[in-house]
Amino acid sequence: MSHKPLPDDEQLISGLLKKDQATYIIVVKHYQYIMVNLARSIIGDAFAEEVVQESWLSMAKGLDKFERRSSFKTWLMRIVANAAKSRLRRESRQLHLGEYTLDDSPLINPQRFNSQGHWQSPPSRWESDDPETLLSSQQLGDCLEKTIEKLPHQQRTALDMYEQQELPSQEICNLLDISESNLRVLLHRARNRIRNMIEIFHQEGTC
Amino acid sequence: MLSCKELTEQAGDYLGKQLPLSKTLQLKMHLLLCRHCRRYLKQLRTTIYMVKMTPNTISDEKAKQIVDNLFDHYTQNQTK
Repeated sequence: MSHKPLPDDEQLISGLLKKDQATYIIVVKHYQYIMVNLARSIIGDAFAEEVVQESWLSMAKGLDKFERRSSFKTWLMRIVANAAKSRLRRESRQLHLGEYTLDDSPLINPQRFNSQGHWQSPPSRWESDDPETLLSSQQLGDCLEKTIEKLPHQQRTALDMYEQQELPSQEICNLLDISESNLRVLLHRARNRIRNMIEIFHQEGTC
Repeated sequence: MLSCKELTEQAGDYLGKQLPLSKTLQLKMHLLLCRHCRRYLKQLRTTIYMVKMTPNTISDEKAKQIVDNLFDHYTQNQTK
């Protein structure tokens, strides 16, 4: 389930500049998902795919002017964020911002704590603490993907950019226009939702 | 003493190493004494590794479709 590593930026950029189709496929395969998530967290579902399509075109057109002051990944994410933000300004009257409602659901069901705030229904034991062992269950892997898919857009994008793309927090905050403490809240909420799912999976065998 | 509920709320800042020293010490002290919270935190760390291992790429076919589409658009734009 691990990712095949991408070639380094020099190789990637050189392939992209030559319009090498294989390099384009590698880059699109690797970044399309996070780009759509990023666009969704800024503009919502309606225009996200279009914004990403425009962004790929801007990338192809602007690559020869890329000054390499940041990584290629960061540069690409900025293209998407800028395209989504400018589309948001244009379409703001048409968009209903239900996407942006605050997630104030409790991290953990409050009934699991007693009146002093201590566990009365403590976290149950998992079959293993080793992620690889846990992920050897196809069913749990599927549940994990499904749970990530269902996270609120900003949580999913924050989680993806931080844990999977390993972008620096400051960069993620700039892309999403949020503070570092907001980012930590988004990550913590997302991780707790997933931990809760894994716990339920161990109790019920399903998610 | 820090309650378990408070610990679960502060765990995000703790993992992000953004908790002030005094709160970090309180949290560590709580962990020494509370096996349930040790398990909670361990599970949170396991969750993070599982997320890192989850694929988030699209299929080769879908990528090829997008690239073909992009090349078409790009060529059209160049000839305009």
